[in-house]
Amino acid sequence: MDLLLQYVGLGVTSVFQGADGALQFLPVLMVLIGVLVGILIGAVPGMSGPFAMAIALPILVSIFGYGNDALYPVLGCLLGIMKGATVGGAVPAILFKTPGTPDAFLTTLDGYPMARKGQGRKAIQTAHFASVMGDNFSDIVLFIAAPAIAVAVERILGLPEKSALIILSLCFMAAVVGKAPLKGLIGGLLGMFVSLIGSTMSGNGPRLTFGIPELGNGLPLTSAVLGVLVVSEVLISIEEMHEARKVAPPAPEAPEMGPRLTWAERGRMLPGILRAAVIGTVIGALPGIGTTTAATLSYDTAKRRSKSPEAFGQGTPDGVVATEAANSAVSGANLIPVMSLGIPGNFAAVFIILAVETIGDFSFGPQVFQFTPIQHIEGFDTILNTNLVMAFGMFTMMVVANLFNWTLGGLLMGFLGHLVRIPKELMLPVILTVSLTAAYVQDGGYLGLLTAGAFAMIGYALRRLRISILPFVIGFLLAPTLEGLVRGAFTASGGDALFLLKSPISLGMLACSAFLLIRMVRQARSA
Amino acid sequence: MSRRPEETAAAPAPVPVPAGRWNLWIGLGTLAFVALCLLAWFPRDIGSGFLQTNLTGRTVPGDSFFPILLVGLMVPLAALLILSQLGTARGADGEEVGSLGPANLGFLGRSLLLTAVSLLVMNWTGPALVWLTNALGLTAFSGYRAASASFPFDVSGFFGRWHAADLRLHSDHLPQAADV
Repeated sequence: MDLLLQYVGLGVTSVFQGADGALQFLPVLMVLIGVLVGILIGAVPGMSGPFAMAIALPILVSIFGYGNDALYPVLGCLLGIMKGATVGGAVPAILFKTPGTPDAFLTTLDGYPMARKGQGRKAIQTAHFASVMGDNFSDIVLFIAAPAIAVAVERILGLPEKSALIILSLCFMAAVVGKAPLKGLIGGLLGMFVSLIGSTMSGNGPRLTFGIPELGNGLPLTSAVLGVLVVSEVLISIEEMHEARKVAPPAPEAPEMGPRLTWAERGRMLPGILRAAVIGTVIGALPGIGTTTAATLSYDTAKRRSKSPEAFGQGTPDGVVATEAANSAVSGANLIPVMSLGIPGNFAAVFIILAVETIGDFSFGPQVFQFTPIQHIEGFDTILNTNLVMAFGMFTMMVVANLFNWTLGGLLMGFLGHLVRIPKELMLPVILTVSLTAAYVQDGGYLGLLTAGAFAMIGYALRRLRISILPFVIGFLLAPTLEGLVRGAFTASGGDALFLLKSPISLGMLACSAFLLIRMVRQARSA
Repeated sequence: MSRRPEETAAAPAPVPVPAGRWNLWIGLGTLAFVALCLLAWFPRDIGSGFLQTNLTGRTVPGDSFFPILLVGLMVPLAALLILSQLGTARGADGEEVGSLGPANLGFLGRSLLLTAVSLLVMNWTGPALVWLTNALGLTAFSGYRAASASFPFDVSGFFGRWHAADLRLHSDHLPQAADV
């Protein structure tokens, strides 16, 4: 216990104290900037937290560089954006029935009728209260669950089991994301395949480069992810605008704001918030299941358990509580598989992993939570697990972001209604230019641009053919890890062809993967 | 920028492709890709085979090990995708079907072209500005390289590209020939 407290103390201190021992405020400032940006971006219809994180990451890296000192400011800002966006998305959903983020869609069901009844302020404050409470709840679960899972994984799972776990995660993700699981799984394998370009594991020169020397160091990671996620989405948005011949509709008038939410009303919401937060946290901890599922499940549960289910959809605060607490609880919980296993479960987690892989020596996975005894050796240095200190530093920044969400989030939400008026015609060129500039700056000029362009085409084709992007991106990111694990397990087994089937745990995981595959085929054939 | 599936579903241009057909093509395309990899690409572009013997005489995986496993896994999935489409009535509510029609390809082509033009504008704006200011006698740089670190020459390409991106977006709102 003493060791745990020592590491927690070091983690908290590391956020506020630089390597030279001087007081530093940069990480906290970056968290603040991130929260503000996240809240603002969340309130712009058509934008979302992961989208802002995608654009912010290369900009942050170009400002702070690749050293270990850059990790806290960059991660702080990204975590701030992730958390801020969960709060901001509710405002246009409530005032104008235009959800700022996709996960705020269900908030319109009761939030907008509340606003039409002259309870706009109460609806917004309900959303803010439920959202921040849900987020805090899932963070507490993260702080406890991630180290516990990581320690268990490190004790129980060997190379074959870890390989099987990644395979199971990919199968699970493909099964639950989108409505085309078989294609999703093929997309995941394709993502893995593409990430092998230019890599080598046995020192025989780079693979699959078509003889192009520029590909010898592998594909630029950030440009590839920017292309497949951001640029392809911009292309789709432009095409849809063209199809709809839609110029921004006239901005709707803000409704009457009405009375404030009282503390007694907040107290009565707590059981509903707790139920929604539990649902959001459980859903968020599973890779691939997003905020919309959590919000839908929570809303349905709240409606079924309510004494007046007929009030749902007519403007009841219970509906806003159910959706906002659940979708915000996902954001903390989805870092559980990231921090404990190194497996990202959604797009926000992808960018957190991408930041960690780009900057410094820190990396996620079960090895982070090894509680190495802290030893001070006279005349040498202190022996400790710096990754664990950084993990607790990250937790500290999440708490700081929550504090900003509690205070600034509540203040800002009243003014966010104006952001709904920003037309897409203005947003899209800015986003496109910033993304391509980021790819150019971070990934070595035209190679970054061409990679972003090529991956934008891949992303566009995948989206149009209804193949989920998430398994592709996760496969792209996890392939090096999986290849290392599979090769290690094969070598350790002495070249046994059945190396993945020797352990009962690995066999169980692969059996679960096969079950998911059978389920996918049955779904594909269902009429 | 991610959207709900319903919103995206309304967007693509109407393409007269029977439901289910695209999934069939994806399955067949995947099989063709696997054949191409195994028969042509991997043998020419990967330095070591599926397995190799290291200096101590142990059999260890070569560089082809993981790529072959990956494309090998694609085969049953593609076969299952094809079989699921062959055995199902057209338009069945199973695996979601997308489409990529000529209208989409045309849009992509226009986007590529305009992006290329934007990049050329980015590349040439700086040197052109140096040439212009030199011609007007405002500066006396030997070339763009000498000026590229000073304002406004260092950012001129960026704004040129932004303007081009803006033009690209608005060009998509101009009436198309087919509409006139």
